[in-house]
Amino acid sequence: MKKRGRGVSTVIYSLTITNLPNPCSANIQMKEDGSVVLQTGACDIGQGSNTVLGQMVAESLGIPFDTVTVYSADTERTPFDTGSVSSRLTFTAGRAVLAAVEEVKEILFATVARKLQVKAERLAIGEGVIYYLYDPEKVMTIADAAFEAHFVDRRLPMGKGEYYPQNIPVDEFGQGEPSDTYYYLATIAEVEVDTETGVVDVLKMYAAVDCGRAINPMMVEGQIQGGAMQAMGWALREDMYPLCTQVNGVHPEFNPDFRPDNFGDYAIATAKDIPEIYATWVEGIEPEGPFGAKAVGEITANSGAAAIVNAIYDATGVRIYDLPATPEKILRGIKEEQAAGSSSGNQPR
Amino acid sequence: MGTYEYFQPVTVEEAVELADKLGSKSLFMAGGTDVIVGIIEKVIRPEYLIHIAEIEELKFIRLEDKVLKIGPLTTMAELAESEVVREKATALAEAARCCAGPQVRNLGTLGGNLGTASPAGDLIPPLMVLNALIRVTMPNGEKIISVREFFVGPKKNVLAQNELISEIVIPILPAHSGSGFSKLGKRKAMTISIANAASVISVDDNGLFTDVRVAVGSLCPTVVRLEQFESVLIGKPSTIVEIEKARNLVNENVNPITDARATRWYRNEIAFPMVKKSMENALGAIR
Repeated sequence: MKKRGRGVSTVIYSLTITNLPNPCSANIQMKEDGSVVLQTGACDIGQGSNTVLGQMVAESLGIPFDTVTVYSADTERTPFDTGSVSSRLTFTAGRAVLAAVEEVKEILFATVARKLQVKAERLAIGEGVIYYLYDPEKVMTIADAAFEAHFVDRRLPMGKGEYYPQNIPVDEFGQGEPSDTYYYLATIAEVEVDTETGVVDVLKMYAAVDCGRAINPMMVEGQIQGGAMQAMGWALREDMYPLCTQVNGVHPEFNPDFRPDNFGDYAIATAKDIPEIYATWVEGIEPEGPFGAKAVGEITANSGAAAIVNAIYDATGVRIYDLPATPEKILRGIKEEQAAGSSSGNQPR
Repeated sequence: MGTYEYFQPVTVEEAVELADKLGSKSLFMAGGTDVIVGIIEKVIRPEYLIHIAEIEELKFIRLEDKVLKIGPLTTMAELAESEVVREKATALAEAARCCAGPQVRNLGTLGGNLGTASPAGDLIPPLMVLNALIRVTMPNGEKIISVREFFVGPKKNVLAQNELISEIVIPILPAHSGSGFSKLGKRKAMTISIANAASVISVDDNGLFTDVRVAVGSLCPTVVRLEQFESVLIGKPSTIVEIEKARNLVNENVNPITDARATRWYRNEIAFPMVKKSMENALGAIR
């Protein structure tokens, strides 16, 4: 018989570390043609920081994204960053980048102010131009401004930015403010359990993250989907000791000779095992964050397993307390439920 | 990977003569999806590798009046896609569809599955219930072996090293028959079976079983037919209720082990559900 169930789980995640110093810095140089080079210590480990930081530069300077070149994570050639940890880069490196952008803007605005005979405070930048707020016809293209700055005003449009997250050590009880801000994720999983084999089919996963401003929506979606897949593997299949079929700490048929020593026996999900994953986000704008952004990092892998295990309980009445929730553990639980005489799980849907 | 001499014969005769001449350190290889892995892991160490994949005369699917003849170099992908196999040997096509993934299915062959003789080989239970016959070419002649006598232990078949499978012959099922397959693994693709099962079912006009054949894999040292279970169902109504009544005769006739993929307990628990699933598929395929 197949039984379906739904489970939900939520997670709160800290972003940046405040009890340890973790500075970040960025150098920006606008060249004489208006294109930009960003040097950042931020290391893109696949989460897309190069893209997002490049977007922030382009957005704040009003230039096309493809005119920004990002050099990152080279201790010989890029300025300091503490590391890709704690979901901190969008927030921390973003703030360092925006600080560097301000210095570049100041130099460009000074040039344009001189050229247009207006006050620098009354200038704005966007869509390839620097323009006078009280008369948008008074413009200078960013490329022209950069050129003038280089060769007439003789001030190279370069900027240096730093961001030091607030450093608040915890008190003697270990209490304090361990994070600059927090972000959140909720997952709902829908499963179908075969009560004769214990095999779980994850039918759908729904996940929503509050990442603050979604700087790159497509990457947010991808991160959520990847995390959901990882959580599913963690929940159902991935184990260093596949024969470790514990039920409440007891190994009924443990084979001590088994040593998984290759990834051939470590079964991660294939394309045929992946459910429909619906990813979305809520923009809980964070005033301290660059463009209101927070993060979407490891959190995406954190609630899926609990949601699936809750869904298994909803379907069968079986509680799994250690992962992975293998078919054998679930089947043992189902047999125990049957033997105890209780009907398996809640009302079948 | 070790060194060996490599040969690529183009006829069956050439292949068998080579094997005969080169002796016990020679090995036939078709798609290589088992042999290459075995060589890399140093489980097999041939000195001479006879790569038979270019022997065109071993690649065919021929429907004749009363039999379906399949060449041993037919790939799993070809078996899964062939309309003839899907219609006349449904369990075999279903099993081929479940094997591994697309890349392996494009190379792995029916003959290779028999040659490797793994108790988990997905193509074997269908051949068992279809009562397949295996034609073997030897240096000085031919012989026919029933698939039920082909395996003697885990990864052991009755072939000598100079004997080559040249044809698999499947008798066509009578009217009102169907075959089905089921497989359970740790995931839905690229996985070795924890247990698998194939069935052939024939019914009469009143819906009573006139023939029941069931084979299971990964539950014993070789794939086995469940004869006790089969015989008790003959003459009974072809319903799930009747099949459920015979449940114990499945468990009494399998003897699974604990291995890297599952425990003995789990295999015992799922043995009957797998048989039932393959029979449901067979009932659904009755023509």
